[in-house]
Amino acid sequence: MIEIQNVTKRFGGVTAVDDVSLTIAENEFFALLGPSGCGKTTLLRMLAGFEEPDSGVLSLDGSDLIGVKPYKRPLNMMFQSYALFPHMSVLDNVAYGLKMEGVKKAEARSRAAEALEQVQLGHTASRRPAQLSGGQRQRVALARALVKRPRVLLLDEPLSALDRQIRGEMQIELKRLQHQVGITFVVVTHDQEEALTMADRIAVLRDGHVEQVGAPDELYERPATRFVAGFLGDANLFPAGTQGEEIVVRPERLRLALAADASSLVGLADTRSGRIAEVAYLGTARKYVIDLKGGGTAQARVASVDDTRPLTAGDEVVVGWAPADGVVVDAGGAPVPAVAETVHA
Amino acid sequence: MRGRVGGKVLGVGFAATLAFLYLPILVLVVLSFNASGLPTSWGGFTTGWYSELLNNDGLTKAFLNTLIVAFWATLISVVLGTLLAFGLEKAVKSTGLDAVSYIPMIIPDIVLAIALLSFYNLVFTQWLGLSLGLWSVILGHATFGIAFVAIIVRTRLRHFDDSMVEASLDLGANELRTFRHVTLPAITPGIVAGALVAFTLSLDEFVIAFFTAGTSVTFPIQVYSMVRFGVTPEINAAATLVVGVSLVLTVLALRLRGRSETTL
Repeated sequence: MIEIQNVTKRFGGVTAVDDVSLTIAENEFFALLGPSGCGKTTLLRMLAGFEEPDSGVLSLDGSDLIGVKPYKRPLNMMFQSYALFPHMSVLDNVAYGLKMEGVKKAEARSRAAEALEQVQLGHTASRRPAQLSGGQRQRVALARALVKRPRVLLLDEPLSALDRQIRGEMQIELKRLQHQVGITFVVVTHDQEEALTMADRIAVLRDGHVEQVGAPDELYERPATRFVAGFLGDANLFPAGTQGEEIVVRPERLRLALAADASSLVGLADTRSGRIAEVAYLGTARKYVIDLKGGGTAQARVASVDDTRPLTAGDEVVVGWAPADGVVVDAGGAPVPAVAETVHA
Repeated sequence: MRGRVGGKVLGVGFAATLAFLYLPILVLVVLSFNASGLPTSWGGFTTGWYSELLNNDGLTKAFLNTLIVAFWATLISVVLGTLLAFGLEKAVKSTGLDAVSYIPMIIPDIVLAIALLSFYNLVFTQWLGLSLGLWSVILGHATFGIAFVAIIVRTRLRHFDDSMVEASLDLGANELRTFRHVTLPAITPGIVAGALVAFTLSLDEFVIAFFTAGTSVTFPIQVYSMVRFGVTPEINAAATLVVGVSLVLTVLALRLRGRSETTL
C-alpha cells in the first residue's frame, strides 16, 4: 500500500534518511522505532508532505506522492504537540478538515460530533482546547485526523506527552481504534515497549537506515543486528566465530546452574563459567548479574515460579544456552555494551 | 500600627503622584467648560466652546486632516509592520536586524523629522518634482508606526506553534486558507493592538508632521499656530476631545495587548 523505495533526505551536510526502503501493508499498524536522530520523524514528515525526499520513490496505492502538497494527500497526521487550534472550539477543531474539503457546514458539524463521541469526548464539544486535559487533547487530535477518513493515519510520538499511567491505557485504546476504523496506522516512537505493544510490524531505524523490519516477537526473538538486540529489551552478547559475529541470548533464555551442579544443564550449545555479582528481586523474576571468567558480564532472568533454589552473590556458576536460544548477529555498526539495558524514554 | 502609618505615607505619595500627573489635564478639562473664557476666573458652566470649535473651519479642517493621516499611516503600518514581524520572527533570525527595526521607535522625533525632511526634499521635491503635503506626513508617521506594530505582533507570533500551520495544511487547507483560518486569527489581537497604538501616536504627533507637511495643516500644527497668540478656550475644548479619544484608544490597545500575551 505504502511503498518507500531508496528514499534519501539530507539537511545541510547531515543525512537524516539514508536509502530507506519499506513496504507498509493495508490496515497494518506499523511502527518506526529508533533513538532520536535516527530519521524516523523525517520519514513520517515525508509521508505527510512536509518534507520532500532528495531521491527515491514514495507512493500510496501505486500513485506517486512526491510533489503532492500535504493538503492533497489522503493521509492525516496526529502531531506530537497535538497542534489544536486554540481560537476554535473542540467541535470546530474536529470539523475544520471537513470544511476545508468542502463538506457542508451542518454535515461537517454532525460528523465531527460523531467523531468526538467515538473518542468519548462528546461532552467537550463547545469547550476550547485550553480547557481540556492532556489526555483529552490527544483524543481530540485523534478525532480531528480520523474524521477525514484518511487512507493512512500518521502518528508522531502520540503518547510522549502523556503521564505514564494514561500512556498504557492509550496504547490499548489506539490499537482498538485502529481495528475499529480499519485504516493503516504509521506511528513514530522511540519507546520500544510502546512499539512492541501496539504494532503489527516494526521497522527499527538507526542513523537514517533500516536495521530490521519484522513483527514484534520476530525482532525480539531473532534480532538481525546487535543494535536491534540491544534496543529492544536486554541482551547478552557472546563473541562467536572469526568474522566478529556474536551470539545474542535473551536473559530469560540464559540457563544458569551452580558450578557444582553443572551436569544438570543438558543439551546446551555452549557454556561459560563465572560468579554471581548481583541479585535483584523483581517480583515475577530474579535478575542475576554474572561476572564471567575471562571478562565481561552476563545477565540471567529466572522466573520466580522456576527459581526453587535462589542463588546468592558470590556463588560460582555455569551459564549456557540451547542452540535454539542463541541468535547469531553480524558485527556491523558501532559496538553496544555486552549487557545492554532496556532503553527507557 | 507601623503598617498603617506606612500605608498612609504610601497613600499620600500615590495621591501626590496622581495629582502631579493628572491635575494639569483636569484643569484643562474644567477650563474647557468655563463660560468666562479666562483661566483666572470661573464664569459658570458652558458647552459653548465646543460649538465654537465646530464653527472654527481652520480647526475642523485640521482635525479632518489628522484623521486622514492617522488612518492611512495606520493602514501602512499594519500591513508592513505585520510583514516585518513575520520576517524577523520566522525568516531571518538576526539580532542586528532586530535592533535596526527598533530605531524608528527610540530615535528622538526631532532627529527622525529632520532626516525625513531632508530625504523627502531630496527624493520627492528635487528629483520627482512633488510638493510635500499630507501624503508625506502619512509616510513619516508610518515610519515609526511600522516599528510599533511589528514589535507587538512579534510577541504574538513568538507564542505561535508552527505545527498548527502544518496541521492545517494536513487537514486539507492550502497555504492561503491556512493563513486566513489559523495564522491570522492567532495574531489578530496583536495586529489590532498595534493598529491602535499607531493610530493614537499619529493623532497627536507634532514634530514630524510640522517638518514634513509642506503647506498642509494637521490638528497639532493648527493648535500650535493658534497658541502662539495665547491659549483660547476653544483650544482647551479641542485638547479635551483629543485627550478623550487618546484615552479610549490606549485603554483598548492595552487590553488587547494584555490578552494577546496571556492567552495561547
